[in-house]
Amino acid sequence: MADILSIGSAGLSAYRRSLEVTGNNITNVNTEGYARRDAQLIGVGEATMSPILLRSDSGNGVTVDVVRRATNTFLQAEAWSATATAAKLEAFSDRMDRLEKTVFSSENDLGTYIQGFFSKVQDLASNPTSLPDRITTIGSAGQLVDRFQDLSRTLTREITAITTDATDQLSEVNAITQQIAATNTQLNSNIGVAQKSNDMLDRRDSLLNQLVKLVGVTIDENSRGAVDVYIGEGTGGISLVSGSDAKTLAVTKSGDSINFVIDPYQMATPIGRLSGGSLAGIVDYNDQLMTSFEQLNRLAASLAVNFNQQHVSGIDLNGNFGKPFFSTDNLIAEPSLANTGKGIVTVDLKTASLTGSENYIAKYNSDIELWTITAAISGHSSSGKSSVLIDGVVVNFSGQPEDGDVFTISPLKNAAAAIRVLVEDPQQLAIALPQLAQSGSANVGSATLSLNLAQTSPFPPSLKPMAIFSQSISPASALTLRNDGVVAGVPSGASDVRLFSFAGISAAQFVSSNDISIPGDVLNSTSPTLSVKVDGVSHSIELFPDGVPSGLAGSVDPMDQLVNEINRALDQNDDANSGISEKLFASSVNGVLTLNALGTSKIDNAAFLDDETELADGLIEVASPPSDIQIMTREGRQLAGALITPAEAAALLTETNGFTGEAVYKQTSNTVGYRDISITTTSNPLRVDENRTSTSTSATVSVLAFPEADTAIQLPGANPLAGGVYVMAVDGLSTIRLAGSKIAGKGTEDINSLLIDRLNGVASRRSYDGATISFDPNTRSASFTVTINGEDNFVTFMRDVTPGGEVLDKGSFTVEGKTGLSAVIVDGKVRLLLSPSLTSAAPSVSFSGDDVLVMGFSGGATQRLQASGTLGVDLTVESKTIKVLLGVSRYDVAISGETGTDATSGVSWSLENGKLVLEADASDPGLSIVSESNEDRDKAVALGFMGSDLTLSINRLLGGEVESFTLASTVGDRLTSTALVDTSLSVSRIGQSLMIHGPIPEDLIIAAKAQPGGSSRLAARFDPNFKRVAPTMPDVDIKVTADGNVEIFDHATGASLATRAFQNGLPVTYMGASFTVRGNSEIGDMFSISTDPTRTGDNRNGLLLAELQNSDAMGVNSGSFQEIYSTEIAKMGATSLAAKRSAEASKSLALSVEAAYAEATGVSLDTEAGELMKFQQAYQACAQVIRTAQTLFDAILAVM
Amino acid sequence: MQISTKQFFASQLASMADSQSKIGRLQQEISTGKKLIQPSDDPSAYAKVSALKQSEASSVQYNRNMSVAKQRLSQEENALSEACNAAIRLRELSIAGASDTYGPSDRQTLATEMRQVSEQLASVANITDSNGDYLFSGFQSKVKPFVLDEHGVIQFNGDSGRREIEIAKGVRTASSSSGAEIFMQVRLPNGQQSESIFDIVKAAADALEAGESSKDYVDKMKAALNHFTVYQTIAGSRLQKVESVQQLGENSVASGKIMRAGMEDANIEQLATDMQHSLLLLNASQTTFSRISQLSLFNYMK
Repeated sequence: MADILSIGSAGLSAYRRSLEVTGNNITNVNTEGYARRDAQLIGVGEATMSPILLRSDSGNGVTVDVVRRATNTFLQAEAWSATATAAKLEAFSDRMDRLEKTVFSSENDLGTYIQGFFSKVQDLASNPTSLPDRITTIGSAGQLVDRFQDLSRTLTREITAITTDATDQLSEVNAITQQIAATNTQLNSNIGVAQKSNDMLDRRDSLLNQLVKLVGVTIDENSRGAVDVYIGEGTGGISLVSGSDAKTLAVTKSGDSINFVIDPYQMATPIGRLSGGSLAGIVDYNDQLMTSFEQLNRLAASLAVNFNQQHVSGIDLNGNFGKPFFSTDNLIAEPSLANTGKGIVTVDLKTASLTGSENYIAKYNSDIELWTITAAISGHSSSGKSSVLIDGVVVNFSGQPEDGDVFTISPLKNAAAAIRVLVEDPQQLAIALPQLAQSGSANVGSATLSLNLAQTSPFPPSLKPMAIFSQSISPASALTLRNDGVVAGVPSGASDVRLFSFAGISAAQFVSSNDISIPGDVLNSTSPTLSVKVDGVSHSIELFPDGVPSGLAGSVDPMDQLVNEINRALDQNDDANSGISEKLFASSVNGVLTLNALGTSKIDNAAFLDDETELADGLIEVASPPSDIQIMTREGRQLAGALITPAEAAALLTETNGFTGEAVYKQTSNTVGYRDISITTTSNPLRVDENRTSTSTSATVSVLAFPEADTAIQLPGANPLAGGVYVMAVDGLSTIRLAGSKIAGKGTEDINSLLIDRLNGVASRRSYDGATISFDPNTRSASFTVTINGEDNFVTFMRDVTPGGEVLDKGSFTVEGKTGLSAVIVDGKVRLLLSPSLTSAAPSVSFSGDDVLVMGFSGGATQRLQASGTLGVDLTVESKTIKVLLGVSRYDVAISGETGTDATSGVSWSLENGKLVLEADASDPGLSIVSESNEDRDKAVALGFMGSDLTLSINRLLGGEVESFTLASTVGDRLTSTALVDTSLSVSRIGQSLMIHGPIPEDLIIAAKAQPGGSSRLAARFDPNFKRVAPTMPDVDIKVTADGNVEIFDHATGASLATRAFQNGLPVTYMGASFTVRGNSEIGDMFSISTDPTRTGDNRNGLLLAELQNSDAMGVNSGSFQEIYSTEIAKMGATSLAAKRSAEASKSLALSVEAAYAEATGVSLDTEAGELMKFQQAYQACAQVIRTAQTLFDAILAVM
Repeated sequence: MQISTKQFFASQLASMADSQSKIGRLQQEISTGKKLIQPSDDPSAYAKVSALKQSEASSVQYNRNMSVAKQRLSQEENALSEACNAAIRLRELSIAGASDTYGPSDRQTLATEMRQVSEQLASVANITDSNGDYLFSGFQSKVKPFVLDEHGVIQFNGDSGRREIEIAKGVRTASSSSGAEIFMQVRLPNGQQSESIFDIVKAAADALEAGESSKDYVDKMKAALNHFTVYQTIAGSRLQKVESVQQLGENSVASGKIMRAGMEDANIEQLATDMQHSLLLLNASQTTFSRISQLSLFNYMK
């Protein structure tokens, strides 16, 4: 049963509680996140029974059920969303406003600097001779680039600052989310403690209020008040806070873009666009900065590229073409972080078209050592080893990259920061143009000529380029064509182009096959014979008449052995075979034996026989004369080669062949003088210059070798063909032939040396024999000095020692000296050998030294002279008398019989190995053969002493290279043309050899004509890497000729360049330039187009440069530089204005939503004051109830 | 419907801050005299103003170019006028020399004067402009065009380059004519080949000195006069063209400036009024705020 007292006290406590709540509200009037509390009063003890049953219970007073916190979820969500949006827009618009004010205000206007620069260019164009104007132009350019660099730096700094800003704000976000998670933990674990929960909820709301200002989120509340927070646009978004778990956010940058990533250390997931908050505003601002930066870079780059293009077509005060005025290099290529190598990449905007925002990816492939650049958007690509051109951008590579290294190239990036002025010298400002058209002063007519300067003309696609040649200039790989006519085109810019045409010579080839092995089978046969039919006459040449030396087939160079034997046999059988050695020679290259015809001889058939059996049949090659190479210009002017008939010219000079439509055939009279194109023609590689003096006759032989042409290269599957042959015939010497592998690939010096070796080979061998050696048993070595022609040579002999310590009479010689001395031991005597030389002048020799006695040279030496040729006479039946010089005396020595001694002179002779040896005492110096007449010499030759009256001296160049050698005869008037056959039957296959020096200023066309027509053998060598440069027009004189045409002449050389028909007022094109004759012209009138560096008043390029100011800078209708700049600023202004307006609107929206929310949940002091009074009254009333109860008790107590 | 006290204060303060920034902005406009201070103030107007500024600057530049052109052209005109005078005199002299009333010594005098006139003509032909460039030398501006060679013949050492000057966008004018054409290629009548005036004079003077009549040269002198007159007219008309372009330019600059001012300049009276208004509003809101904020029920509780 309730009583008044308890009712009253219940009321007191309830109302005191309510007062507390109200007091709490009042004190928290300004607390962030605080929502108004309401104490919910309910009556106590009222049963919740069916309302039908009435109770007569009076009730038990009042109590506070729960303190409810005011909420309005809908309004709160609205408020958060509005706040986030307002924060984003405000962040963006504030920064845009600041950007406008600080970076792009009118005083610092880039547009003003651009205007200033072009203004100076205008001044210069109007006053081209003024040096101060040149200087100020350069100065103004400097200020302009400074401004670009300044702006670039400012924007870069701004981007960095923004990133820092974002990072700072993000760490705030991370701190807040951590605290939200902590709050969640509390909320989820608090069960039943309502008041504490309310405080947590306040705290949670306060945190969320801060969070939404920074970053837009979606918030989901559970029944306990804990929240799940999601971030990012899109359905649901990514979970940022979930229960007690808060993920961290981080900033990542790709290039200059700011992106966000969640959970960066674990499962880093990128977040897409943020829905709101100041961070979203920062990202938008960053995007704007990047766009503006890109425009700035583009502007800088297009200014540089366009100005440069015009500047380099002009001429400066030094008469040179302008160099690039602004730098377009120094741009950045970003290496990928995954690169392992150290590649270096530089980027140059040569003629880049700058309208797109293409990025390029460069990747290195180390297998083929190639860089490939791919355009990121359009996908096309280009490759190169060290330099790649793509879309007008030149990228250069160096350093040591590794396979797979990647660089990203944004061609415009850094353009504004990197732009510099490259021209410092005012003389180098190119405001003149190279060419000026003028009328001749003697013109009768009144016409004028106007000129539109050259545009690049392409290399005609109808003309095959030089690449048709295989670069090797061997007859084997020469080009063979079916028809006469145009072969290829040489593009302008080429230099050092060598062209050859080869003759085919008659030959027979022997190649190893399944059935026959060459040379093996021939060398293994018993009596090999060469059967050959030359010029209709059959010959049978015996090889190895004394029998094939055994083991020859297995020797080191069996092919050489066979070839030498064939040539020797041809020589020896010359007379018997009607001079066959003059008609044939053998050579070998790469395992193929070739029998070559000399001169105009023709081989009909050839075969190797063993006895009568045929071993191998030769494959016949037919002779053919070399083609004639003609070099023409595209206008039909002939620069080299045999002249052609008009009919041939008509057939040749067609547009299909690469000639211009108006080509007219003309021969140039002066090939060297055609526009500095110099073409040298060479033939006859071997020449002999005769040089006769009165006392002795001599001839100097110098060889001009064409080693490349004579290199025979084996093509797969084809038979190699022998190349050229060098043949030298000297009367009294056997004919010397060098061919095939002996000379393949060898140059002039080597050929000379080979000839000298061969000549030495036919010289007599001089030696000195000592007396029998008498060694001291104990001496290990002996030495003595041999003085030859005043030069000392030291000869040392080391005796061999057995392991047992026994000293032998054998050993080795060491010779120090210059004379070409060597030593051997023969029959117990020391034999000193002198290197052979074609000298009959015997040296003076003396011996000295410690062991000269021991070695046997103290007086008892014998000098020997051994013939190099085999004996040509039978001494048993004949005798020959030769003249011998010994000391200062001449003797006639009659040689007969195989050995003997001449009593008068003391000269004795004998035969060794079929060769005659003369001996005499060494104490008389100088045993030698002399010839005083042809007869004398013939006799000496018959005895094998070939070339005995010739001396050979070698002429060396400074570097010691053999330049030529001189053969001299010591016999008075001996050397007639028959005595020394001058020059040789050179059968180098080169018919014509042309060298186009260069670099050539215009395209040339190569044509060939063969007799009979058709097959030509042409080869060429040129640098395959040269790049075609646009053909240039030289200074020309244009003459009106009799037939209503003009003829165009090269001003420098007077060479006729082209012929054109013309009409008054209509343009005529030549080499890309077009000119128009206007007015009355008379025959004989002349116009000139000339360059002249002294045209100081020429401002034509200056005018063109100034006009760039108003041209479309970046493509059609793009506007001028200043217009582009102003448009960008205006765009920025529009964005900023729109942002300001949106910011204002969203701010007022946010404020009103917040106000609505605050209405629902905020504390109004007036309301609370009212509540205070209400509860106070109620409290007092309840107190009154208790007093009444007390009075009642008092009354009852008074009664008892 | 209750007003949260916190919210009340916040919104009042916010709107006062707005008023103050507005006043600040007005202040800036008044002090700069411009209503277009930054691009976001009026982006399209800003773009137009930029364009106008640029064409004003261009005009200034073209004016400079035109001064150079005018200087050269008027010099050329004067030179040619003197050449005409010289031609007139030469004609008179040659007419006199053709008359039989002049004896050999008179003819001698005539010849001497002819040569003098020729020299003067040469020095006129060799005039230079304000930069020291020879006017009639074509592009060889530092090379004296008309020089006496060792045979006593005047040779032309310049070329036929024509120096053009840009006087307006896309408009160029030649700033001199070819010295070769004017003085070395005098058009002669009756299909004769053109000759140098100096050669004509020399031949005439030589003839007179030899005692011959100069009647063959009368027509040539007349032709020379016609020839020079043509070129004088050309120079004159070029000069006129430049002047008219200049006038056009000035007109368009003036109208451009007006347009620019209209878009850019602040209207001071309007600004003053706006400022007054804003200050008034701010004052009012400040006063009412302080009054309202003092009102509270708590004031009335004992």
